[in-house]
Amino acid sequence: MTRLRRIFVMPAAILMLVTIAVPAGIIGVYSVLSRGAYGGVELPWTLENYGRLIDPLYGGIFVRSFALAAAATALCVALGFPLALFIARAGARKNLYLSLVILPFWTSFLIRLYAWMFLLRDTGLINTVLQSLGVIREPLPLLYNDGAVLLGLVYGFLPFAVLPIYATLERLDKSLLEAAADLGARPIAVLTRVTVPLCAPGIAAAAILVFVPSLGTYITSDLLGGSKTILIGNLVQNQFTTARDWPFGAAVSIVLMMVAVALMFAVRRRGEELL
Amino acid sequence: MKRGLAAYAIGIYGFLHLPLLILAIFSVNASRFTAWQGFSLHWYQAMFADRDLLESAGNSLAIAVASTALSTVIGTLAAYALWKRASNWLAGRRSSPECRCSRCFSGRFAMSTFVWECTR
Repeated sequence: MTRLRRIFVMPAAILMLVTIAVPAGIIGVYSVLSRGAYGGVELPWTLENYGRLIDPLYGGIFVRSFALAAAATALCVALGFPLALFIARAGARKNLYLSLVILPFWTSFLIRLYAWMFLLRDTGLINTVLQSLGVIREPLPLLYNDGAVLLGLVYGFLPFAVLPIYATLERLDKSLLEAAADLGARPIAVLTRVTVPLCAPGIAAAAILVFVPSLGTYITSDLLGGSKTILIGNLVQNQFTTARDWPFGAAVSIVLMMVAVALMFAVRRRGEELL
Repeated sequence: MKRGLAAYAIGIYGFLHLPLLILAIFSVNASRFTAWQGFSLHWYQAMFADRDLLESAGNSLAIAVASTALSTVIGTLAAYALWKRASNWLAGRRSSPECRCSRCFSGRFAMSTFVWECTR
């Protein structure tokens, strides 16, 4: 039986090795090589690509990306928790409400971002309606700024926050909540001092699931942020395309990956069961 | 509190679904601009008349079907192999049967990934 299991797990293990470990290794090797004249990489080996990251220009990009990802994470958790609570308490309609959270995933993220562009741009629905109602004269600058990127991130990743929080809420021991109420805690106190702390694993998992993809995003900032909003993801993309500096792009990717892995380990103990 | 939570949920569901709903409504707009100029299936006609578009849709569908079939087979084998293991580097530590999250998400997530592949 053990042998059969070993054979069964092989295809998945090989696939993960070939599609995750090998590319990550290639990126690692690229990051310590020199830049080729027309893209690609050349000898000699160097650590200069990592040294360049100390440049305040890139430091600024990292800080901005972290700030945006942190804001998106905080918003997703704060907005997602009450919704998860609502679904967990919904009784028979639980599955319907859960499906409604997942339903947006059935449409391409790209199209969902275009939907927001349709709403937010200068000639978009919101500005058109506000102008025809006479509320505003000039269109509001809703698109192509950090706020729009934040909106896109929250919109795209909110379901990732709701699902793990819901999973912990759903299997919460109800008798603990009843005990708190019996001992005189008001509903708000039960929520903040019993439910939320017991939900810590779910909240930690939610935070990771939102923060990591937010930190590396490039399509959201590309479409909603315009040219001003350069984030780490865009930096990497530029190095491999227009800038033709593959080693530097690889070094940035490696740093990004290490941050993600470090975060995973940091919250592993709390969110372990869910990640 | 219960009523407040329900109202809040309606707001969040609106946030999640309204943008796409509005996009769908404007897909049957006669005008190509934001102003509403009456119902028309013009854009759908244009879509089905576009050979390149249909060809790429066919490609997307073929790739989605193939990758779904492959990952379902590989994933099922791996899931069976890792089933009821107390500790495993692939499944993660402490993946006990109580871990209900996997049960309630798996089906819907599989569907979502299919569409995801299809539309990427």
